[in-house]
Amino acid sequence: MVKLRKQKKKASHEFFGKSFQFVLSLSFSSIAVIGMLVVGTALYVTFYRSTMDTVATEHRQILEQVNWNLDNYLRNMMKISDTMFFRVIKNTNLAEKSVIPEMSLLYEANRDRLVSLAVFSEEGEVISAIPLSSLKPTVDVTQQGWFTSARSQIENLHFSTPHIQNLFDNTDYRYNWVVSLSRRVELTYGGNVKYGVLLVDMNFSGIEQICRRVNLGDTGYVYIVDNDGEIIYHPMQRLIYANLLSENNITAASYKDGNHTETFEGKDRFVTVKTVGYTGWKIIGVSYMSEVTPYSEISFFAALLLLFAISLMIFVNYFVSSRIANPIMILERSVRDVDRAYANINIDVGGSYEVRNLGQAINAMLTQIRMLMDEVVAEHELKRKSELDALQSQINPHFLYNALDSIVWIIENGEYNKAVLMVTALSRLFRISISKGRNIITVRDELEHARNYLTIQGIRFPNRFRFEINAEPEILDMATIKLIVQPIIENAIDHGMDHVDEDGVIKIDAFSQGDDLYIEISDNGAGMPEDVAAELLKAPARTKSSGSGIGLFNVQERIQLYFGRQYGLTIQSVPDEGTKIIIHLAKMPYVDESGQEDGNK
Amino acid sequence: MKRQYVFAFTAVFLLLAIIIVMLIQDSKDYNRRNTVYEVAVVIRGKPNSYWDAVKQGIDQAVSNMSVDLSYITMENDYDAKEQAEAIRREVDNGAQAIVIAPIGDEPELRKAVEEAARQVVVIEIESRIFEGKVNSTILADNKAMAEALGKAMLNRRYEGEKYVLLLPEQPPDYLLKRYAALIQLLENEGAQVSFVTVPANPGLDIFPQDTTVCMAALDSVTLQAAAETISVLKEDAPKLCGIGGGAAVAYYIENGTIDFAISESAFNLGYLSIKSAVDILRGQKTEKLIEMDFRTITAQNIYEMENQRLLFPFVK
Repeated sequence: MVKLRKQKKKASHEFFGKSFQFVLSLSFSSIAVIGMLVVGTALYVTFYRSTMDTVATEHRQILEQVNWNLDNYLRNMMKISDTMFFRVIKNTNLAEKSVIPEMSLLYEANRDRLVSLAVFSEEGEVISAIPLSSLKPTVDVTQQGWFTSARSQIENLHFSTPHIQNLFDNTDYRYNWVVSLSRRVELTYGGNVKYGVLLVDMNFSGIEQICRRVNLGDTGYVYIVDNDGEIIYHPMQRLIYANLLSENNITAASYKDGNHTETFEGKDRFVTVKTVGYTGWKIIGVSYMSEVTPYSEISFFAALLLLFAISLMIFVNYFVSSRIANPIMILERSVRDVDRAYANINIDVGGSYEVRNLGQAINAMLTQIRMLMDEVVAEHELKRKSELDALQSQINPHFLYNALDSIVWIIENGEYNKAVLMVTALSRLFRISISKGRNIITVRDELEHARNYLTIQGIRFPNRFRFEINAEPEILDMATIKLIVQPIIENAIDHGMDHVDEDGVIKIDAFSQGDDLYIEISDNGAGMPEDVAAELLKAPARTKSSGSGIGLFNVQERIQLYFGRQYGLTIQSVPDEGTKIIIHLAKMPYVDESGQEDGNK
Repeated sequence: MKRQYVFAFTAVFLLLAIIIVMLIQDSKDYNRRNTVYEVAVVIRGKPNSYWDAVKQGIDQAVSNMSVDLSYITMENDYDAKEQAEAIRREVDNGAQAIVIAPIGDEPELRKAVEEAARQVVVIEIESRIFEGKVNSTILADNKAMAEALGKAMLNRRYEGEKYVLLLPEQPPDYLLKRYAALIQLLENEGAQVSFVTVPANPGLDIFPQDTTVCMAALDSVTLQAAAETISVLKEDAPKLCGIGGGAAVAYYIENGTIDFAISESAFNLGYLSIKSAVDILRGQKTEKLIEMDFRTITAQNIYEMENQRLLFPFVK
């Protein structure tokens, strides 16, 4: 039970896990097919029952009529037999008088229904017979079925099955098919009573006429069998006798009165049975189901039509469900795409009112999200810029302390000119550092700032290095971020010139190539291995260096924040030969706060 | 349009096309079932009791099926030219099927049958002269019947019995086949065999009035004619047997004139000939050769139910 429930749950999960269109289409189709089948079956059953009731009623009425006619016919034959027996034979002393005159009258009165009337002695001799009386010499009457039946059951009248009447001699080769009615009779000879047999041979055409015009539909018919199933009458009796046709007569003889269905030779038949009172014969009405309920005959076409209807319905359902599901599926795909990448995804809006609303709502939501994200990114960048700018703008207190200490020392040594030079450089350095709070300055100012820094450091560390600053004149008024050269020079002095004896050179070259602007800071210091150089531009947390890389990383960050990821620093360094750091910027003219190009600076 | 739509639409369209084709076919079948077919039956000679029995079978088939029948009898027995003309005339008159009991393998008749077979359905009965050239051949096996006759004659033979075979003046092909088979069987057994030609109305003088003779006729007409003629001789009549059926033959069997007869069902022959023709016209499959059963009828078994039904077609 639990397993079954699990399987059910699994199947349900799998079904509802399919696409929306599949579920929708299959659900529509299933409901429609089930509906069609239920309605079709209900209609079929209703019509079938109704038709069968009608057919049963019709059969019953027709068989009642046939029974009534046949019963009348047989009763007439029995009346003839009774008349012959009770009014003629019983009242005639055969020793004195023949019964032929009365028999002739009776025969003539019923000529169309009778083939012969005959009275036989118990030994099988002809007492009287009409119209022929000469018994065939080869015939032994006592061996005939009708004779033995009459002798064995003396109280009854006996009806035979159809047979050839072969009793009397005739020269015209006439052989009649008859049904024989026989009974035991008492023959009076003077005072003696002997037993004999009265035979009434009925012309078979009498029975045939009763049944011939009975029609049960186009193909239905009525036939008559005796108790043993031997055919008394059948519309196709000739063919049955010629073995060209067969009938279900033996089985049908066992049917009780009423309606039955049977399958004979592959055909379904509706059979009604009615027993004829005295004889025990059965009248059997047969209708073919293919005619009664032609649904079975057209069932193949019905099945094809049903198949067509179902196919058409599935096709229409598929079409309709796709029209319903497609906008949702497109929406779902769009949302999935949004999930993958937020940028520039536009949600398709279509389908029904609800789906359109949903799409519009998602679109609005996405727009909102995009705006918020852009804002967050912008704010983050701004914040980062501010942090970096603030960091960059800070004057190393040690540098200031060292510079002032150097000035004091120079003054104490009486080198006033040097002191003036240093104070002037320091003053200019601070002026450019401040730059009225601007972060973008001209290349000229940036190089000036570098020069002042180098001047100060040169006075502090005399004979340690010399420096050169070269710049293409046309780039001097281009824009640059301020204080990006100084950290590099500081690194060069601190790390590159540390072990250099008087022949250190720091060279700054500023030039442009196309739309790009380059500032190269090179030294002939200690240099560094390639992997160390590569580490310098990575995030500080990952670096193993002593902190000298923080300045370079910050410069790189600031350049890329302002100009984009394609700009920044490139470090080329060879141990014991020197280091070259190239600052790559976009070449763009400097614009002051008023929006005017500052061509003079 | 998406591929699956095209596929689904094509499938639905094909299904619809199949239904329409089947409905048209069904309509054609209905019309075929309800068409009245023109069928002509051309027998080999004048009507007699045997052909009457055949005609009853034909009439039964006509009443069961939709057939407009032309039943053609000949002015003369065994006239191939007359039969050929009758066939041509019926084909020209629009017969859709011809049932023919051919007289023999005469060139004129062969030509007429072959011409007819190219235009209409042709069913051959009682012989297999045109087997393979016509649509269907229906008969009782002539050789087997003759052999059955010969064996029965030999079984009833007594010392010194002589055999006389009775043949019509112009025996048709199927009779010659019976004759050949019978004479071979009898001669193989060392029997003395002669033959007598029996005209249409034979006189008593042509038959041997010798009770040690057993005469055998190979067809109903000759058998009936011989029986009618020799029946006056009563106890002095020679023994008579043969191949044939019908009420007259039954009568003479019953009164002892005919010792026994090999009987085929003439009714069945007539019925099956029309049924085969109609089946072919309706496009149904039929056997190219239909061989019918036969029975040996004696005075002792003549009223057995099967024999009653064989000899006396059910007349309502």
